[in-house]
Amino acid sequence: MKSLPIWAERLLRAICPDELYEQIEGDLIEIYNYEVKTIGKGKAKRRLLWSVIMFCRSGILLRNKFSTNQNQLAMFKNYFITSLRHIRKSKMNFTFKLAGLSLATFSFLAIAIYVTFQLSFDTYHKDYQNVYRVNSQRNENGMLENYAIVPHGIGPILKLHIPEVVSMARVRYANHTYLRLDKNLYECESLLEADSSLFNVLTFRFIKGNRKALQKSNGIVLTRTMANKLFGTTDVLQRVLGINNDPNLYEVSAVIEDTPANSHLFASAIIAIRDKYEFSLASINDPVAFVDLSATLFVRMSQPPGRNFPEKVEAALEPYIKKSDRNEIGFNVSLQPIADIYLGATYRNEYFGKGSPIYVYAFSVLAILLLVVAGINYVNLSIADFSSRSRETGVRKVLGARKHQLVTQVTIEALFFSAISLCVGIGLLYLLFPKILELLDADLRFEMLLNTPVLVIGLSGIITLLFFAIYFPARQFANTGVIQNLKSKSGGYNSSVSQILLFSQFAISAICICCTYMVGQQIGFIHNKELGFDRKNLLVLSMPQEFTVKNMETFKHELKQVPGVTNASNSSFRIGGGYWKDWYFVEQEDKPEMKKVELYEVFSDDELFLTLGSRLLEGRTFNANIPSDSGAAFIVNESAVRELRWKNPIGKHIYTHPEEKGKWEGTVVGVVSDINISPLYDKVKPLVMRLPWTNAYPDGFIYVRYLGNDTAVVQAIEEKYKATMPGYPLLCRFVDELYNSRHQKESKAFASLQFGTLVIILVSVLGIFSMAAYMSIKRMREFGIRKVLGASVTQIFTLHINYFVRLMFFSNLIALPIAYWLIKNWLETFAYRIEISYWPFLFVGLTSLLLVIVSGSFSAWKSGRMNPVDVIKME
Amino acid sequence: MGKEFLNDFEELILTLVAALGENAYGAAITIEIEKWLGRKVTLSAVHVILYRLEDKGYMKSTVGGATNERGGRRKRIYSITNAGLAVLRAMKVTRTEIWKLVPQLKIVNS
Repeated sequence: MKSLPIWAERLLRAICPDELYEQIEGDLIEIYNYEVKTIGKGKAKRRLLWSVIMFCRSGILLRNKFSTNQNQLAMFKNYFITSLRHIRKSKMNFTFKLAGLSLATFSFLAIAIYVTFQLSFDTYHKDYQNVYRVNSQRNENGMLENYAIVPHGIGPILKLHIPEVVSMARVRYANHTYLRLDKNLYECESLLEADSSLFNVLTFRFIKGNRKALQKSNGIVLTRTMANKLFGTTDVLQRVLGINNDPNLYEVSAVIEDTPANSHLFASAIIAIRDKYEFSLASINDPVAFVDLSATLFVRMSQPPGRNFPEKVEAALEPYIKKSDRNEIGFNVSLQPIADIYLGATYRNEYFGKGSPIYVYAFSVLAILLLVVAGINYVNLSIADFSSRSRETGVRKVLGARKHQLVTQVTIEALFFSAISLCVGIGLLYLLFPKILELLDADLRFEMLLNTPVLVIGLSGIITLLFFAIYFPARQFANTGVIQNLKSKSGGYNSSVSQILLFSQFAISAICICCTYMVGQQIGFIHNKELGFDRKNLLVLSMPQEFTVKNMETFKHELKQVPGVTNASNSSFRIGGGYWKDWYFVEQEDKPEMKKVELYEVFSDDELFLTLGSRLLEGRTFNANIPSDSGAAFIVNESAVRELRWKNPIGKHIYTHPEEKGKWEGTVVGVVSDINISPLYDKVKPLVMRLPWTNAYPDGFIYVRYLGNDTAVVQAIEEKYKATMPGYPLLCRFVDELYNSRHQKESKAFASLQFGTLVIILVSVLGIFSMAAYMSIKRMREFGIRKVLGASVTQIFTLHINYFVRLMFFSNLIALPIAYWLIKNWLETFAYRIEISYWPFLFVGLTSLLLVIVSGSFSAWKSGRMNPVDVIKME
Repeated sequence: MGKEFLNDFEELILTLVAALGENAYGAAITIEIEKWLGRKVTLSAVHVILYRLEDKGYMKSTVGGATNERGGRRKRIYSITNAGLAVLRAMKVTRTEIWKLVPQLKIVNS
């Protein structure tokens, strides 16, 4: 070999001193050639590599003479020392700069963790870009309703006719189930029924068993938590379980890890789906059958669905259902990428938790605003700060500092600050992390800080911040003339840049204050909204499927004996849960023929209204003493009356299920006020209530109205329940609590928004405070002369504060309309919302002015009170 | 410490430089160490010691003697100075003195 490989040469040239390089290279070549002869080429090559790498050692590196760099290094040291000296001199400025930056870093990182977590949902599935959920659409009373479920036939049809569909799996969800081991029942939070192909479509991590686990019809897959709960170990293959009181037994065929926190799907146990693998789509015409004979469908595709995918689907469906039939009920299916489900729009019959994209957006915006405000604050303070050091800059320039050296100086300071504030920010984040869990999302982990997206977002945010923090002050200095630098004690503050920065900072704070205020109002409104029933002192009990009619009667009777309980009724609806839906035929006000409509329905006993405390507007309630009431008496709510355009609802003819002629036929006997039981995003649905046919459906929920001590009542109810349904744990919730938990997301988001706004306000106030202090020093001589000429303290005070007040006024002029627009958009997501009035905006405007005055007044007061002699003689 | 002190590796290299005479340069010394001690050392370790000893004034170097097997690169040939020789000698003497103190015939068996 005549010379070293190119990489080795480059490396050595970079690290070795020039005068030694030639001999080192020669030695390496010589040893290599010697070793090729003695130990062989391969080994020699490896040893050469090693020898080259070993040259990266201090003994070699430090022999480099930093002849040209030494001066630079000294300058770095000098910049650092002058910065430190300056910090020591202006502690206040330093503290404010640091506090602003640290707070912003802290909040920014917290939000970055939250947002990336929210965006990471379901991305853990292998090859997740190719996994889709199939959604469907139906036209109901002229409205297109989107469902997250499709009839059982769709999956097999798509798989058969569309080659891109690699595999598909249907999933159904059952709540209120118990797993039975020996004689004991254990609550199973989420039992899924799924096709055995589920494990090919979605990704689960197996602890025991494999993907074939669901191929046996009696197999059951448990999660780690569930297995530990039942058996205390995960080593439970082939153990036998029951579900509820079903005599069929299941054999544990696999144990999987718990579904990750960032999965929209939540499972405790999975069994094989019982519904048959069919190709019929008959169920789509009937609203009840449609929901009953459907399942959530996940498919794995080999490639993204192209633009012609809808046509392909149509062609696939054609043999099974005619296009005209399909158009009549507006039936259509579409694919939704699995990663979009969590933050996507809400579909009907979605079983699992949903995120709210609006908060993800809101927080992202908040994070950016925070950075902007902190950046502006830093820039303003640095400009002010450096201006007061303009003599230093002048001297540097005279001594020959070039432009890039001044920029280096600013850069070093900015880097220094951001390093410290990053440390402080991360420290704060660590200390306050429990609070963040409480406010944002309990599934966050501090370690998520190290996830790549968080690092990328965090770094890019900080780099942007640094860019602005360096660019403006550097420009400021480098461009002022030397003479100006040397002459003036402080120059160049009144530049338009600073004014624009201060202006936008004020505007952002005003927008944030407005938004927070209005969000607070809306949340208060939700909590105190009239719901059409009394949600205080009301319990809801969920009954298992095995609960019989006879059980219901005796249990209700027993409940009424409990001291404190004033009433108890059963019903099919759950607060915040879904309703049944069915075809109804109703009499119309002006036309003789009956109209076919889909209405929501609730089955309940005769006393439900009494128990809920809702108001009867017209007619009567069900009467247990009139036997024909079950089947022939219907009660509707206000919304139904409105929707059906009835003027006199009482006595209107109404029936359903015409195939069982006369069984469900009768008249409307009463109208009740709307009961608002789903979250307030939705309008109240048109509702029909009827008694169950001779109480044939013991529908799952019992409402208990009570007085007095909660715990005593719940305890008494639990005892009665144990006597009626031995072995079943009681599922009992306070309606009030349940209702509030539905709106917890809003409350939590509000708390975080409040915190973010507080940080922004704080940073702005810090900014105004120190800017005012700086300005007062700058104009000190002017104030002194004014005082000598007879200006009073108040006059000086106003003169000083005027600058900020004027800026604030104009920024509010821009900010408030923007805030108005933002709030209006947000409120439109609620069906029930507050009216936007103008006085909150006025209030915010005044508050911000007040804030400016208060934070600026300290220095204004000081400059008003100073002795003019001290200032004027200064030179 | 009154006397200059070298660690064993430095002493070894200094001795080799003295012994090799005209042929004392990095690669040759590395290969010699391998031959004498049967121990692999990296070239950079040898170089670092050579520079250090030169800094201390125990050896001096001249550039010259390009050969074919080193791709025409010149060697840096080291030669020991009087100071280096003195240190080597002093160390050897000290060691012999101390060695004399060791009871040669006593067999320790405890």
